[in-house]
Amino acid sequence: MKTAPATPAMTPAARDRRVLRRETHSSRSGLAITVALLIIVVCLIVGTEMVLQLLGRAPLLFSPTDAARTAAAPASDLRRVMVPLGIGVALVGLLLLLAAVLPGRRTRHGLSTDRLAVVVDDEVIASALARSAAIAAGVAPDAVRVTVGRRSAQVRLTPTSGIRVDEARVTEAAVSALERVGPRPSIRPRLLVAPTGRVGS
Amino acid sequence: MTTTNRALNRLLLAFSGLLLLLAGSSATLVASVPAALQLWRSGAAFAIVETETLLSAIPVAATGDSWAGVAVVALMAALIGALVAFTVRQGRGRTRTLVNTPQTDQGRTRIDAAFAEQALEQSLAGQSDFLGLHTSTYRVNGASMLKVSVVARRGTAPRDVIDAVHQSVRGLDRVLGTEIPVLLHIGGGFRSRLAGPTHIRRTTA
Repeated sequence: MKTAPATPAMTPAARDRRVLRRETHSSRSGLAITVALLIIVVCLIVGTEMVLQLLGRAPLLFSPTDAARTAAAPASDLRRVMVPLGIGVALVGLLLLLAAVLPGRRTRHGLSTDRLAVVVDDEVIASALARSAAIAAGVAPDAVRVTVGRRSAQVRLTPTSGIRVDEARVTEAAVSALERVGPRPSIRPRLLVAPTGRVGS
Repeated sequence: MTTTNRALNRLLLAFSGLLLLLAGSSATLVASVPAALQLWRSGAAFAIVETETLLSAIPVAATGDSWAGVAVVALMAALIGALVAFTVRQGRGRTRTLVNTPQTDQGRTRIDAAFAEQALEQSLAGQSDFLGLHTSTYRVNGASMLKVSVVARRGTAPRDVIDAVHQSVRGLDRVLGTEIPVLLHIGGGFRSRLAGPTHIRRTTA
């Protein structure tokens, strides 16, 4: 709504930092739009019933005054459904609250070069890392599984039966592959070699 | 890079979350604890009596109906209007203008965003590691910023993608005579998984 603080004096570095922060964090648009639409629907229903009551017509679903009276003194059968319903509503509320408060990081890393602001999906970093590790270990690309987190990456490698994997060499290849990307925050690789090899991998 | 107001998104989620959390837990409490039910009953009855006396004091002239009904309808309409505006403003911020210089004695220069977008797309079209390429332009901090989105083939080193785009952007700088800020997004996703890695690649020294 408010147009970003319009300070034309913002330095390119500050602008890139801001853009990268926004690209690596969720805007929560989907959730916010869903919640807004639900509130709109509730408002439409209550507004319609209110207008009908003012015109002295029969209600479509419920009469607002009757609903208020029922809620003021809940009967015993209503109270029975109120317990699970209330717990469910409270849980949904907690989830929304968490979505609002948590940082909402996306699985991406940002970096800056002298000319470009860059965001890279973690998936892309993982597949590049897997390729470098597979080449260094001398195994097929399918024998390496990589998961990239915010600050660390797990490289799971299944060696070919009967051939020893040079772990130091693979780790070094992974480190240099990550250094070449240069993500912020930097990612530290952890190599896990499966104890049993596979024939023909 | 959109102008979506993220603080407002958070505020709406926090507010509605808190409301649901309070409503849900107090409903559970009222339904399961007798003392809470007693408290709720007396409080609600008192509130209803109070509002009724308040409302009957100021009836709407013609019908004798309470003004509160009208107020509720007006409130609902205002809330709906505000939320529709809130929803529509999400994801905005794209622009069609790249450069728009102020008027000088010599005239003024206007460059369409489409020019830079197409120039970059054509210059990068031959890259075999790019499965997809999309460019767009956003208004960031009072100036235009180009966004280049690349879908990379599996196993492609991000640095190779960065270098290729860097070179094309430098070329664009020379053509335009000015540096437009650029954001590069390197993504994987469905197309990348489908296409698979290359088995034969050109060796680079």
